[in-house]
Amino acid sequence: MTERSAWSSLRAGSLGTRILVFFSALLASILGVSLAVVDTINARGAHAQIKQELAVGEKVFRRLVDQRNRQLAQAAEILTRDYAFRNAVAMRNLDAGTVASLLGNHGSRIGASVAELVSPERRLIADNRGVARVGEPFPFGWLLDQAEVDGRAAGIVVQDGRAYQMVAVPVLAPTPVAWAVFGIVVDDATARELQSLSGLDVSLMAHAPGGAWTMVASTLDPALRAQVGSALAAPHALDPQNADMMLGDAQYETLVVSLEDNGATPVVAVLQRSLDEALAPFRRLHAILIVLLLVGLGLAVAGSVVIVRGVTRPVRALGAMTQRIEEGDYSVPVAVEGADELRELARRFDLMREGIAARQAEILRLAYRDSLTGLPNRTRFRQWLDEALAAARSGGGSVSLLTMNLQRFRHVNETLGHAVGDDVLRRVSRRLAEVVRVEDAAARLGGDEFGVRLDGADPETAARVAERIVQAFEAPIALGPQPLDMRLAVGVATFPQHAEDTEGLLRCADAAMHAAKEAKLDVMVYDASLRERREQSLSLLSELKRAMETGELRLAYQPKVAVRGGAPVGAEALIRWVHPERGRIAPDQFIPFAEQTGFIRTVTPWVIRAAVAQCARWRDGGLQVPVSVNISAQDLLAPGLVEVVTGALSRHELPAALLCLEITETGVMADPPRAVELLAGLHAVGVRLSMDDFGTGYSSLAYIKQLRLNELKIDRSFVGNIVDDSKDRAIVLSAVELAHNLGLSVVAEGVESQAVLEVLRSLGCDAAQGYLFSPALEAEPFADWLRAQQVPAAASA
Amino acid sequence: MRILQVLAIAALAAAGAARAGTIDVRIVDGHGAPVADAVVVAVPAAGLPPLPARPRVEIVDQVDKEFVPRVKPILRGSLVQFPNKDNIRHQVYSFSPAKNFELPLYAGTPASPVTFDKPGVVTLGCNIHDWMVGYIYVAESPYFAKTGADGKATIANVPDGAYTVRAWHPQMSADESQTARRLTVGGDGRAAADWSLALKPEIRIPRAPDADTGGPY
Repeated sequence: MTERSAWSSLRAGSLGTRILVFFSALLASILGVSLAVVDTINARGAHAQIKQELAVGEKVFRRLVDQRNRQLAQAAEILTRDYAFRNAVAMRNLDAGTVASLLGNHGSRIGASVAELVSPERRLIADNRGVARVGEPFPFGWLLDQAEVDGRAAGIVVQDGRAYQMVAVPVLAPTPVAWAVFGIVVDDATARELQSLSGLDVSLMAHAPGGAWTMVASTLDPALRAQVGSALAAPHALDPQNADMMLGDAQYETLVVSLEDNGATPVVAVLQRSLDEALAPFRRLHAILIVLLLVGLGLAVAGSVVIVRGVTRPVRALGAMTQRIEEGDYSVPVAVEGADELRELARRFDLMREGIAARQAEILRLAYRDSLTGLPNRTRFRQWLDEALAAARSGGGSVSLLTMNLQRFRHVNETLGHAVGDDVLRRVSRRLAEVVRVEDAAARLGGDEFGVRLDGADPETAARVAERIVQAFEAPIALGPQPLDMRLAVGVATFPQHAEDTEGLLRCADAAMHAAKEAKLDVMVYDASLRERREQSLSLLSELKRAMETGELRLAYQPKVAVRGGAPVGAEALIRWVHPERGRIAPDQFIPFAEQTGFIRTVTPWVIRAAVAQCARWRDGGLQVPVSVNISAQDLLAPGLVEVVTGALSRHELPAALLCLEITETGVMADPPRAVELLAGLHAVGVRLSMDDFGTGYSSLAYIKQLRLNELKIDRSFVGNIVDDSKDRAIVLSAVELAHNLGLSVVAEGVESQAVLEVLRSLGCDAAQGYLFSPALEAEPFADWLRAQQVPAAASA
Repeated sequence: MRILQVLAIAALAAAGAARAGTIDVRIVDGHGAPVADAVVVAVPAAGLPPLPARPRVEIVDQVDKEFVPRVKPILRGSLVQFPNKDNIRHQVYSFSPAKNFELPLYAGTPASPVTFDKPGVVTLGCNIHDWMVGYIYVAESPYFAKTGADGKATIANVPDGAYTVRAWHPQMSADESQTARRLTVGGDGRAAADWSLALKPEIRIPRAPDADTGGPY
C-alpha cells in the first residue's frame, strides 16, 4: 500500500478516521486535563510553597533579629557589668568626653556605630558621635520603658534617615544608675545577609511621622524599591491576607512583618518572594509536559494510522475480493496480512469464494450442458455464436454454422425404445466430436438436432467439413446385435454471407438442413432461394388451411382400366387446389410441404371423407366404382386412421371393398412394424390395400408378405421405357409374377401409349392407369367418361 | 543582741521624759496591694533630737547570697556589720553618694563595721553576685519604721507634736520628697498615714545557678 492510499484510508467517516480521531481526542483530553491538573496543583503548590517560605522566612528573620539583639545586648553587658565602669558611672566621676570615648571604643569592638550613655532621667550623658547631644532627652524612651521591664531592650529605630538595630541595657550599681545604648546600622548589607539565610527578598520600611513609608534597607533591585513604599501605602496593604504585590511587571508574594510598632516610627520588614522565580521550575515542567503531550499525540496518530492500516487494508482487500466476485471473477484468492482474526476472516472469505465458484461452475454446467450427451446445449451454443460473431465482426473474419439432424431418428426411438434412442444420441455426439475435434465446437441443439460452429470457415470450407461429417456416419453405429445405419442431413450457413446475426444464421442453417432433407441430399449450403421458398411455404400453410374450409381443395379421379378388355376397374382420387389468384397449384407444390409441417394429417382424413362421399354418390347414381386414396408415411404413423376410415364408410353405408388405400413403399419403411399393424387393422375393416410406387423404395419382401396387400402399383419409371428396355420389362415381369404368386393384382402407372399397354398385357399385368385412357377428371366428367365406356365396373382380379 | 536590748532600754528611757504616741502607716501600690519593705520616716517639726552618744550598731547579713534584710532603715551615724553567713566570700560595695564603700572579699564578719553618717539611700551590691541588691536607708530622724508583708508599719514612741512624714520604697517611681506630708501626734497619741505608691518593676539580674546544687541556671 502506498503512502497515499494509507492516508486515503482516513477519509471522513471511515473506520480509520474514527479510530484516529477517537484516540487522538482521548489522548489529547487526558493530557490536556493532566496538564490543567498539574498546572493547578503546581500553581497551588507554588503558592503554598511560597507562603511556607514566607512563613519560614518570617521565623528565620525574627530569630535572626532576636539573635542579633541578644548578641548586641550581651556585648553591651560586658561593658555595663564592668566594676570600674559601673563605679565610674555611678559615681559620675568621669567627664562626658572620657565616657563617650570609652563607649565608642567598646562599641567599635562589637560593631556598633552608636554608643550612648543615658541617665535614669533619660537624658544623654555621653554620645560617641559627639558632645552636641549631651544633655538632650534620649529620643527612644520606649526602648528604655521596655528595658525597665525586661532588664534589657532592643529594637529598630530610625534616626537621621538611617536605621539602627538598637539595644539598651542598664548600668547596675546594682540598681540602674544609667542606660548604655548601642546601635548597629541596618543597611542593604544587613538585608542581604538576611536574604542569604531566608531566601527571600527583604525590605525594611519605616513609617515616617509624615505618613509616608521610607525604605531603610532592601535587597530589591533599586528600580523596584520606590514601588514598595507606595504599595504599602495602599489600603489594606498590611493585611496578612493581602499577599500579592506587583513590582514592575513581576508579582511578588509578600509578607509584611511588623518589627517595631511602639514608637512614633513603626518599622516593618517586607519579606517577598518573586512568583516568577518560584514558578520557574513549574513553568519548565509545564513546557516539558506540553512537549510530552505533542510527542504522545504524534505517537498516537502514528500508532492509530498503523493500526488502522492493519485493519482497513485487509478489509479493503476483502472488499475488493467481494467486488470481483460480484463481477463474476472467482479466480483471485485473497491474501491478507494482519491480525489473526482478520487472517481467519480472510480465510473464510476465500473458502466462501471457492464454494461460490464451484457452485456457479456446477450451475453453469447444468445450464449450458446437455446432460444426456455432455455436449453444450443450445443456450451455450448461441452464446458461442454471439461471441464468435462479435469477434468476426471486429476481426473481419467469417463464421460458419452447421446444423444437422438424424434421418429417421423418430423411427429408431419409437421402434427400439427411448433408451436405445438416447444411446444413439450419445454415440452420434461422440462421433461428431471425434470428427470436429475442436473442443466445444459441437453442441446438441435439441431432439436429434446437432450444431457445429466453425470459426473462420467460408461456405466452401464448411461444406467440406460437412461432407466429412457425413462420411463419418457412413459406417453403421454398432448398437447391440443389430448395427444401425444413421444418416445425417446437414445445413450450412455462413456469417457474414448469409446472415448478420446469430438468430439469422441459425434460421439459415435450419432452412438449408430442411432443404437437404427434402432434396434427399446429405449436405446443402444455404442460398437466398431457400429463404424464398420457405417463406412461400409458410404463406402456403395458412392458405392451405383456408382452402380446406372454402372448397378450393377438390378431388380429381383418374380411372384404372383392366388391361384385358379395357373395362374401368377403379379410380384414383388425386387432390387439386384451385387458388383464386394463382390458379391451379400442382400437388407436388404443396403436398411435400404439408407432409413436412404435419398438416398432411389434416388433409388426408379430408380426402378420405370426400372420396368416400363421392363414391357413395356414384353408387347412388348407379355407378359402382372403387376409389383409391393416397396415404402418406405420416398418416401411417398418426393414430386414428382406422377410425377415420370406418367413420367415413359407415356414414355413407359404403362397402369397405369400394375403398382402396394406396401406401408408398417409403411410408411403410418409415416404421415397418407399425405399418404392418395398421394395415392389418385396415384389412380387418375390409378396405383394399395397395402398394404405391412399387420398386422405388427399399422394400423388404418379408414385409410385403406381412402387409395384407391386395394390389401392387408399378412405378411409372419402370413403365415408360418398357417397350424398348428389356431390363424394365424383366423387372415388371418379376414384379407381376411376384404379385400373382402372393395373390395380389398388379396395376401399372403412367401408361401413355397403346404399345406399352400391349407389352403390359403380354407380361400379365392386370390393370393400367395413364393418359392413354384418361387424365384425372373432376367427379362429373369422370361419371360422364364412365358412362361412355358403357362397361360395368368390375374388379379385375 | 545584748547591744539591741541596751539600746531599746535606753530609748524607752529617753521617751519616758515626754508623752509618746504612735504613727500607724499603711502603704499600698497602684493596684491597692500592700507594699512591703517600704520605709516611713517622721521628722519632727520641732527639730531633730540629738543623735545618741553611742552610735547604734546594725546588722545586714548575707544569707544564701542575698542581703538580709533586703531593706534596712538605720539612724544616721549608726554602724552596720555585714556578717557573711554563706560559706563563700562576698565583696559588698556601694556607689551611693550617701555612702561609697567597699568591703574586699571576706568570709565571716569583717573586723570593723561601716559607719553611715550621711542620710540617704545606700544601695548595696556584691561585686561577685550581681543579683544581690540591698538597701540601707539612712534616716536623719530616729522615728522610722519598715512595712511588713501586710504593708503596715508602726512608728512607736513618737512624742506628741507635728511631724513631716514621708515614704520610700526601692521601686517607687516618684521622688521620695513628693510623699512628704504633715501630721500631728497628740490627743489619744495615735496618728495614721496611708500612701499609695506607684512602683516600677525591679531591675535585677537573675541569680546565677548555685555551684553546689549544679542547677541549670
